[in-house]
Amino acid sequence: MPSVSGEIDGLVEDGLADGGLAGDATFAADPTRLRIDSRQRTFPDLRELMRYRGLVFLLGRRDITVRYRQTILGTTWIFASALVTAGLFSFVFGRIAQLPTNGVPYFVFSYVGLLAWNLFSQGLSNSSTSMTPNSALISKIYFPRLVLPLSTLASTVTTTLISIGILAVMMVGYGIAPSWRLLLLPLSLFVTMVIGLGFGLILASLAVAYRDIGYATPVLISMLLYLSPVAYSLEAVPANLRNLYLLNPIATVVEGTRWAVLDTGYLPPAWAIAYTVVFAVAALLVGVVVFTRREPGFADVI
Amino acid sequence: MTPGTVVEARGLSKVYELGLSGRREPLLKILERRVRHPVRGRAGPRKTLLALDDVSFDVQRGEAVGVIGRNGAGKSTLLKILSRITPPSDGYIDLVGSVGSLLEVGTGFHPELTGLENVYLNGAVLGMPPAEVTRRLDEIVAFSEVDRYLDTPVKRYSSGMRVRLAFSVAAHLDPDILIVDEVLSVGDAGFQRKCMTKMQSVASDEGRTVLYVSHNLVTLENLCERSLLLDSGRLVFDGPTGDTIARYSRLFPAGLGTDVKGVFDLAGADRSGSGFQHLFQRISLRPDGGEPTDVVRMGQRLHVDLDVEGFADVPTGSHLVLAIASSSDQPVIVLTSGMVALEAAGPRRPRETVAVVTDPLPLTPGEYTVNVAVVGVRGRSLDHVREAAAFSVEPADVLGTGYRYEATNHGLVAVPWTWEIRPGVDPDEAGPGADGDDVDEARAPVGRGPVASAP
Repeated sequence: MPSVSGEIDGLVEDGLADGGLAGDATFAADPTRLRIDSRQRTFPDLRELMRYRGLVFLLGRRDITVRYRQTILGTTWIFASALVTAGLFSFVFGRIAQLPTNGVPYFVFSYVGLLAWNLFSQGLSNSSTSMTPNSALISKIYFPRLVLPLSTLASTVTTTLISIGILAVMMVGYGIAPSWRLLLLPLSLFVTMVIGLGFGLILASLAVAYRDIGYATPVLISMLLYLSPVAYSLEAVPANLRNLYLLNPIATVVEGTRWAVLDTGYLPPAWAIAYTVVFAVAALLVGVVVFTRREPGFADVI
Repeated sequence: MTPGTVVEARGLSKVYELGLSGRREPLLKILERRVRHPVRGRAGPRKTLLALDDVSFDVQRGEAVGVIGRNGAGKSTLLKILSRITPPSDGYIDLVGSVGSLLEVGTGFHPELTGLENVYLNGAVLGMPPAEVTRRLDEIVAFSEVDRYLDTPVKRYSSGMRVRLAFSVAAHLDPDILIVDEVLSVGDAGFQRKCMTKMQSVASDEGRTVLYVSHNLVTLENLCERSLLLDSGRLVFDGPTGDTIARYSRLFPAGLGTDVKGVFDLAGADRSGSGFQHLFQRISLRPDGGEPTDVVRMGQRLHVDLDVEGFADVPTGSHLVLAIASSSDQPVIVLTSGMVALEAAGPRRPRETVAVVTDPLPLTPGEYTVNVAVVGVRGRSLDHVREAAAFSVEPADVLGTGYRYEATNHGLVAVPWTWEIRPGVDPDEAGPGADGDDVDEARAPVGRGPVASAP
């Protein structure tokens, strides 16, 4: 279609068509002017995403409301499962296997580990499964699709905050006093969440076309649980394997979280911390790019 | 882009890869192929469908433009591209102003949330910030007529209530360009009228631009001065709605016209259905049993000769269905072998003709289409040709009063009738027992015959 490309060239010359930014829909000088074409974007339109922040919050609230509506215990379920798991771990690993915890009651030890672990695993699974249940929205209405995985952060973060509240009560009960290290807890949890979201975005964009992702994710998550120091301490890992073990960034954030909360934790080496932060940034970046590049096709294949 | 133009579409095309949606090649198959053909390990060229083919048009500010076309003509694809749900494969659209699209009423409604929560959520989904929803909440709720149930979960709503609430949110979006797909076909008649009025005022009074897709040609004619006609993905006509509708009705039927008017070849026609492909070979329309023609006079009997192949092999329990539909795709007359048994008059042959003879047709003048299908035991169509044939009905004096049904808007069917004015009962004359008598009369057994028929 030579006439079409001619038209586009003309617009570019007039300064009306978008010059530099590639994208399926970009704003030129006139903010109300929109160009829809087949060009692929690599990075999301953050300004547009900001305009849809209301939708992110409403969808996040919807997820929380819907999950606990028509339940008797309501939001109790949010922390009930973490308490049950910690209790189970205490029995199996603390009592039967008698794993070392550096003098911390095993229940608290595993609960703190689960705090970071659950943030990662829920962040990952919630965001990676956010697309298919909303297929009606995706195939009928336009909005930046990133809204969907981002909105799942609402329930993931709420769960974590409630769990932190329970932890505070628990520490008072056990008489464990936090140190200055506690100030680093938000940082550790933030890195955890970013890793979860980054992988969640990659899996979410693949899950639109390949439903296999939905089946594979829980399997991978449960495998990773045993490769992370949740039920046991990093010190329990043989020293000659520890460097290899720490290539799993989740190992670093779980142990780091424990270090920040409990005075007796073991701080992973500096290289592992730097590696984990770089890993998190890279995971998020790759996640966003993969998601954005696949986004235009979502409505056609979902 | 000239001033005043708010939509400029140039060379829009959309290619779909068939068999892609939902059904991907399993991983094992891919691996197997890679192992067997390590060099040319990629799948062969996929079958593709050109849903839109080089479509260009402009829309001016304040215009209401209709989009019509047969099923699969590319209307929905065009709307999806306009609403940014799916990108075009080629070409572009420039839009000036905010865009709101309404491809389905109530998308994003969550059954567990209350009406009010859904109003906010639906507003946000459609691009209305929560603050804006709050500002217009009273208007939205008043329009929806469900104000008493705002705190009830939507799952307890009737479908009518759901639709009313959803349309109200959408109707208060106020985008500069509104893209609407067939939403007025929902709700009860009263609410539909209300929606129509709202849509009309959006275009004419508020000066917004509306792009409207519909099968309901009457609505379209009321709402849009100009319409686009799509056929097989191409823009075949762009002009006043009346002219576009005229062109549209000439697109029918799917059955390929032959040299003889009123005879349609179905062997190569587009069809759906499975198993017994291409049962239907040809259909001929012969008013009053005469020569084939596609013009039927009111009150004529319709003879339909349906040539079929392999009809004797159709599993027992299947039904032949023949439906006559109006130009707005509404079935008006449906004949099935489930209602009237279809018997073979002699020994069965591979090629046969089903000869249908109707009573005088009560259809009013207009364009009609004939759909034919064979439906299997479990409701699956074995062969189905939509719009296999088309015919027009010409006016005639069917009432015997000299009136010839030349005006439009006189319904879809014409039935001869009688009526008269009778003296009423003066309320003063009616005694106290009169009401009781009426009740007895009403309760009388049906066998006594209709009360009003006595002269």
